[in-house]
Amino acid sequence: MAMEPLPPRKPAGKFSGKGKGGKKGAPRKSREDGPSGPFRGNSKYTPKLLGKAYFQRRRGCPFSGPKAPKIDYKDVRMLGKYLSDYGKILPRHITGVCAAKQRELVQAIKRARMLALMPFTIRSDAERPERPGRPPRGDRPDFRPDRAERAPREERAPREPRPAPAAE
Amino acid sequence: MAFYELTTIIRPDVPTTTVDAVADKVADIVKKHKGKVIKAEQWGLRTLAYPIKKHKKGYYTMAGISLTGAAALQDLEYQLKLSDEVIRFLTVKVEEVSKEPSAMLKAKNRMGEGEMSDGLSA
Repeated sequence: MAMEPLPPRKPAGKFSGKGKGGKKGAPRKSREDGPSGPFRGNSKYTPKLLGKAYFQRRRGCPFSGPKAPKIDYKDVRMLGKYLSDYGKILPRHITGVCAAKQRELVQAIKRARMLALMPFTIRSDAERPERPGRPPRGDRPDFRPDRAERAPREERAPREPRPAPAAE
Repeated sequence: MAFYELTTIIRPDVPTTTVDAVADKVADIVKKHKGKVIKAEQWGLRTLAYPIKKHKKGYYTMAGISLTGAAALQDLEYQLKLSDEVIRFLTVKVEEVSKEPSAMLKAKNRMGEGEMSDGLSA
């Protein structure tokens, strides 16, 4: 399952926040125009323009507080939120879980995995588009039927009529 | 005395009565060691997240038990290890066994049977 997209990382803020923001100095010009494109009118890095994602990151640990759910290896629904698309346990800096609860959470997920309630890994090869640049087996140069044809190469070279069309 | 949660997975290609038979067997062993079965749950036939011994599904049972001494737990686990019907089990020490149905049963009641595991097996 996909998490909320994180706010843009440092580069945008760092460059426009530092020094004389609005005035475009010659050497830094390309940098300023590039990453901070949408915020060109305002020289400062304004959190308001970043929208929801920026503020959501400030939310505290989902397992702390009075109404927090208990971490339980049987609660597959809840644990599933802390897995990546490939079934890996998401790191704390993405989910915002505090250190103590993360340790509990990891323990619970591993227990659920032992009971086959959760996967160790999710394969999504079938859904992934085919890798570009790799021709199907029959067309590959190292495929045997091809090599048999290619063997008499020395013969073919001399009778190549390539110079003729070039001269025309 | 300590409390434990024992979850077992029983192979799917046995008659349904085996599930009860295994639960009884667990109860017998626990009783032999002067323990108590505080609660027993049956989660039914679930799709496993990955195959275990070539099985893709399994009957899940969960029991909350109290036992005294390490020998009792060792014997229980040893017996489960020997049994052919149980393909996987997990004992977890807990502070207390709650009387309420576990998260698994709650989820099952909320939505129809068998739908829980669909998202995981994909």
